[in-house]
Parts: sequence; C-alpha cells; structure tokens
Amino acid sequence: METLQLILKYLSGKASQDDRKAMETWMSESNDNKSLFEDIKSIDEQSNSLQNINLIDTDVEWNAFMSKVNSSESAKVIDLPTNGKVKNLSTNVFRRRVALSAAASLILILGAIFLFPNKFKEIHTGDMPFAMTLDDGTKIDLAANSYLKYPLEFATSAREIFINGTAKIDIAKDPSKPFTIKSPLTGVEVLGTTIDLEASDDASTLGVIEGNVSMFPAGKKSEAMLLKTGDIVRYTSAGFEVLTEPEVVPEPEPEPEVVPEPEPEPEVVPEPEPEVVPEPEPEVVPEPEPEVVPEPEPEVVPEPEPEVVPEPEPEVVPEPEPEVEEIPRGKFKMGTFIDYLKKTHPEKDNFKLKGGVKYDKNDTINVSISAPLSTILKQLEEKYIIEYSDDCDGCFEIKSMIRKK
Amino acid sequence: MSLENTKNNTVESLFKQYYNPLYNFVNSKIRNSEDAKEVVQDVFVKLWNAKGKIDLDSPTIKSYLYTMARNTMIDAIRKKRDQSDVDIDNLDAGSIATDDGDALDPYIIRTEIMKSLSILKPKTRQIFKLNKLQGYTYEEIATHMEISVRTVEDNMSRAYGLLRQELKKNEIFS
Repeated sequence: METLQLILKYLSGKASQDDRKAMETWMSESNDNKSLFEDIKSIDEQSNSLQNINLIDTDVEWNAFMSKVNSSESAKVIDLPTNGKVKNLSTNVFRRRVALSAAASLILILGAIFLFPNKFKEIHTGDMPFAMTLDDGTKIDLAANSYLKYPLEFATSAREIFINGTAKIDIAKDPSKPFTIKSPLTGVEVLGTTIDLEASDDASTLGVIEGNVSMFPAGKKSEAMLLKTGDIVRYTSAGFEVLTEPEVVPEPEPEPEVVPEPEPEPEVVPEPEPEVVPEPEPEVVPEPEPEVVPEPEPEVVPEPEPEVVPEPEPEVVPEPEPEVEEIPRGKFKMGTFIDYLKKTHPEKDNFKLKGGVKYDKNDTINVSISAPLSTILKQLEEKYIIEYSDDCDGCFEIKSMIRKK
Repeated sequence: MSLENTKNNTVESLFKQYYNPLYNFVNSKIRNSEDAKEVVQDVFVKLWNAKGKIDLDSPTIKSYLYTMARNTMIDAIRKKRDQSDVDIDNLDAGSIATDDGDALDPYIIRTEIMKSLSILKPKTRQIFKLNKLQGYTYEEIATHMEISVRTVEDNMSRAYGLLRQELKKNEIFS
C-alpha cells in the first residue's frame, strides 16, 4: 500500500526530489519492482482515458453476430472454412450494407456539417453502470443496459439529450438554456433539477428528486404534465399515471425499478401525495401552469432522429380496462423480478419458490409484470426450464429453474 | 502463464473478450459507432469462416484480430469513399495501416479496467470514478465526500492494487 502511494505520487509528478531518487533506486532493485511500477503506470495512463471508452453489450452483439452467421450459413451449402463462396457471401453482405449506408451517410455528414455543428456521442452501458458529466456540468448516472446519446457540445439556445433506459440526472442550472431529455415515448423539460428517469419503448417513468419539471408525450408539448419535487409519474400508451411513492430513492446504481402495478386498476394509486391530485384521467391534464415552466421555446422542438422517436400512441381516450397491450412489459433483473412475484403472489395466493431454488439474480428477463401469473410463468419458461412441485395444491411452486442454453 | 493448450478459445470467447477493445479501436479511428460495430462484426465473420484453419489458442490471435480489424476498416473506408464523394479527410488509411500492434493494447486495458471496477468496494469505486471518469481532483473529492485527502489517496492506491491483481488474473499483465 505504502509502495503504491509512492508510485502514484511519483507518477503524478508531485514527489519530492528525494522520493524520486528513492523510487528509481527501488525500481532498479528487482524485476518485480519494475513490473509493479510499469503495471501501475499503465493502469494510470489508461484510466485517464476511460472517458473515451464505450462499452458495448457483447451479449447483444454476439446474438446479432450469430444470426448473421446463421443466415449466411444457411445460404451456402456446407461449412468449408475458406471456401470462396462463404467469403464472398460475407463480404457481399458487408458491401451491400456499406453501399446502402453510403447515401445515407452522405446526407448525415452534410447534415452534420451544415445543420448541426454538434457531433453526437453515444453510450451503451452493458452490465456496468456509467457516470459522467456533460460539458454544461450536468451529471448523469446511467444504469446498466441503458443508452444515452448527447451532443459533444450543446447548442446555444437549448440542451437536448436522448435516453433509453434508466438514469439519474442532475441538471446544471441554466435558465437561458432549457434542458430537454428525449425518450422513445416522452420528452422531459427542465431548467435545473435532479431527476430519475426510466425510459423504454413501452413506458417512461420519471421521479423528480428536486425541482420543477414538465413531462410531455414525445412531440406533444401541449399535453405536458407539470411535476414537482417528490412526484413520480409514469407515461405509457395509455397516458400518464401518478405513482408517487417515496421508495424510489436515487441510487447511483439503480436496478431497473420494478414499479408494481398492484391491480389492473389504474385509478387505485397507492398513497398518492395530496398535492399531485391524481386525476383519474391523467392524460387530460390541462394547460401547464405558466409560472412554473416558461412556455416551451420553439427551438427545443425535437429534431426528428430517425432511429429514436417512434411515433407515440396518442391514446387520448382513457381506457378503464387495461388491454393486454397496455401491461408494462420490460426487461427486469431476475432478482428484482422474483422478489416482485413473491410480494405480489404470496404462497397463500398461488406462487412459491421451494427452498434452495437457484437462478441467476442478474440475468435479465423480458416480462409483463402485471400479466396473470400463468402468463408470466409462460414467459419465464421461454428462458428457463422450470420444474414444478406437486406438493402445493392449486398453486405454482417452483422446484427448480435451469437456464436454457 | 498458460500459453500452452490450456485456453480452449472459441469464436464466442474471443468475441466476448475482444469485441470491446476492437470496437473502441475502430471507433477511435472512424468515429462512427454503427460503422465500427459493422467492421468488428465482419472481423468475426471472417474468423468464423476461417475456424478450423487457424489456431484460436495461438498467442498471436490478438494481433491477427487487430490486423483483420485494421484491414476491414480500411476496406470499409475505401468503399465508402468510392461510393460517395465524401472526403473523409481525417480518415487517413495510411496512418491507420502503419499503426503497430502493440499500440492497440490500451483498449484492452481500458475495457478490462471498466469491467473490473465492479470488484472495488462502493466507496473506493466512487472515488476512483470521480477522479478518473469525471476528472475531480483528490482535494475536490475529499471536500465533496467529506473525507480527508489522505483517505482519498488510500482508496486510490487500493483501487490501483486491486485493479492490477484483476488484470493479472485475466492475463492482461504478465
């Protein structure tokens, strides 16, 4: 430990003359010393460049790779490693892609130069969360399996980023530049505040840790909903839903927050904070209060970004009976998900894990959490081989779960 | 250590080990995430098609992958240049081609550091990230976290020590 600190001091250039001398002597004493020094030096150098690294989820890429390989394998006759046919196939695929993207990238590059002086940077977190600070001082804690896109430099009149996933965002105050966070379904506009955002293609959940925020369906600022400190709101194709509950504590490394939908009865909001006044028909939230959020500046109108903004379902008509499609479906970690099941479907009800059932807590699974239990189990069975126990009458008791290959 | 036949690499294990280093290498040159992914995917398609013919456990597999990545990237740039009139001036294929294999290690080390951060204790990890990812000085971190500069230093050297162990374990360092 002592040695490490000396090395670090030496590397930072802050070591005294004597310390430097001692360090150099120490280094020349043995190869072990020398290699310890070299290792620490390269960790130091490389970790200073960590900001430039993007970690891509290799599992996702591997699956994409396998489907690519499999499709070219089925196209050819048999697996002959250096067979010219195979080669041609794969390079043709690549060539075609390049050709296709060439026209598009011409436009993109021109666009980048003339329309948007800003270059964008993208971050996909894999298994690891990622914390960063934007150039305006805004701090973003991006959870695992999330996506962030942001300009290297913000425009002069507005700040805008795109998030699909879970993030805690501490926005630097700058009243002259409203900060807009776009997601597949919603936009969130703020002037300076701290929020928790969980956004996917199906739902956006926003928790306001501090400050005033306006949240609106993508492209529809007129339907904005105003939120204050402590408010938690979810937006799905069914509209807004107030979920305010204090348990969403900002954790630097948030799990995908499983917001339990107790019953398919959207009006039965658990303990709503009085000031939010949960209107049963949430989307009908009228004109935003002018004094809180300044009328949206025209320049914040989201530039259409082809890959990101799927047209939101403008479901303005409130459906009292949730259709199957409205059930939030999302990726959850097995641990979180099983805990949720245990809570919502306790033994006396119909779900139980027999002692010692093992599963990978961090494995993610795509499920509709508020679907009927049997449907959920069916979804589980897509990924796991589940053995049920017979001991339990009229209820599901899981004896073992084995991840399918 | 285990340079002999103890590795049993598969295309999949190599993919998971080298995807991020290769991606970051290519992306640092062409500065286009999608194209970089495409290039790396194509490298592994080539590897897949050559399996059985090359030794996946060979100690030179790394330079083999990087060489393929370099060539694939240059091909991609050339083709793009031919098919559109875009002048990709900062994409000088010549300079990419002369890059020496050893210079590529940084991406492996960085990727590995990022992955290894999870072994650090939360506090140590936070301090390390504040310093290295967000650029705060030790003094700023000490003030922010209400601890002494000495504690920050202790945590940093602990982080370095643990990271080194981890990198050794994964044979990044010999």
